[in-house]
Amino acid sequence: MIRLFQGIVFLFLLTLDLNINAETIFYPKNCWGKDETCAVQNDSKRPVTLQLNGMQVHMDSQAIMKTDAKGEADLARGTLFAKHSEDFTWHTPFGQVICHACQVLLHRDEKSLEVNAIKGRVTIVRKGDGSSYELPAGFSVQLSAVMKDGTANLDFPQAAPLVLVGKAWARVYNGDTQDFKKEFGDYVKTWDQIADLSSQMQKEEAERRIASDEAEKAHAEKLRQDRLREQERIRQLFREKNYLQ
Amino acid sequence: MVLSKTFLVLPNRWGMALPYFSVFILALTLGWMQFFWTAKHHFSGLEETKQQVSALQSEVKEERLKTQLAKEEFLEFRQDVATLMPQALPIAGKGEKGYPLRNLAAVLNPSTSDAVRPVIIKTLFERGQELFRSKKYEDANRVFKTFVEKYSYSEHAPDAYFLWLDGAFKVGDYRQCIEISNQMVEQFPGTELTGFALLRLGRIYEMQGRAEDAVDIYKTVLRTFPQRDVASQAKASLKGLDL
Repeated sequence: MIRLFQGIVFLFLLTLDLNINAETIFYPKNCWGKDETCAVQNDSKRPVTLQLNGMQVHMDSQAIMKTDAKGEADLARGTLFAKHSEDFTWHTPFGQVICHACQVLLHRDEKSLEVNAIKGRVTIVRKGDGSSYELPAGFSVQLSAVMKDGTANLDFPQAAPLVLVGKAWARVYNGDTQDFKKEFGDYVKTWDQIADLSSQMQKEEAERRIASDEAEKAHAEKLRQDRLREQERIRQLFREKNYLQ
Repeated sequence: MVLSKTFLVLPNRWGMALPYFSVFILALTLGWMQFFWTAKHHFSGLEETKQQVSALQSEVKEERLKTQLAKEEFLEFRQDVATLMPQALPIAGKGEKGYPLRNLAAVLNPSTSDAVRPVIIKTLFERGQELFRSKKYEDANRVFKTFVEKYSYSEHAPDAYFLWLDGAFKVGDYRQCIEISNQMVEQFPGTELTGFALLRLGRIYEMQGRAEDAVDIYKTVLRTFPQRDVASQAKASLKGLDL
């Protein structure tokens, strides 16, 4: 009797037209792992996990990435968490993020790229500048458009905003809750260690800026005083000669 | 016979048979309904249309992805061009021929457009200089007047004031000369050009028969402006007056 009911329910379910919005768009079609140049968009509401040659990428909803012939990848939009067992270069219009067997959480919008180093060694190379900048795990930095000096704008690195990073990471995490808790716990330990370092760096930078600003102000004031003295002398003469006094 | 035996004939089994019968009728109804809907879908062409809509939706999504990728490539190109601007603009961004480059720099991003402003300033100043050299003093004076009103913070401002003063002197507008000298004295008291402007003022005094005032001006210039050219011209002017 029960089996008969189960059979009927099964038949009934078969007839339902369930519209589950779970889609990953590849361009060209089915290019992942086959073509060097492959664009991927996660068009579903849930994160998508992709794997390729020592790289594991967890893309958030609506994220777009593209691999190229140089073996690099560009995050064009959205958030992704990437795990690399080898060196890998994330390439964007504002610069490069070189991951040396690292874990990194990237967020990209039209005007900037936010880099959160989770684990391992991350190097940032901004566009228009040959130098590279190390971003230790636990730090976060923003890279944005090229400025009038011809180099992309790279903010001062600071300790990552823990809650925001945690939320973004949890959203794209591909594993069970216990594993995430463990990994996030490790990250928090690293973050704790660098938070002091970051505040120290920020303090030093602020002091440097204040000192340089004060010196600049003092110099400007001296020049202003000299100029005023000269101006007054010559103004006096001008007034005399033009019968203004 | 079998049916009646199973469901109806054996009254003591009715309690067991009735649910089976109900389930059978339910399954039969659902089966017919399913058959009806399948047949309806099949013959109405709805499935085919749904498939077409689905294919079109996929195409739209793919096109949107392509557009996004094209935008990304364009952004990258813009950023590449922006890195070249600081070197290219000072060399190729001047004058009329440099207009396309300056225009390009202006659309790269707002901060890059700041780099173009000095070029615009320089172009306007050069136009005034050109008119001055061609002895079109009144036109040149108009350009320099506009220049100092719009870009008084520019590094070319003292030059523009001085050329304006000289242009006014050339067309005999001495009142304007005194006004410009006054502005130069107020704004750029230490620059060499202000020294020359004061020498020009001395010359106006000479022409107006105010020799003593002219001597005072020349002596003050000699004392206040250490620049060699200004000083030597002040000396020469003083010598001329002695004669």
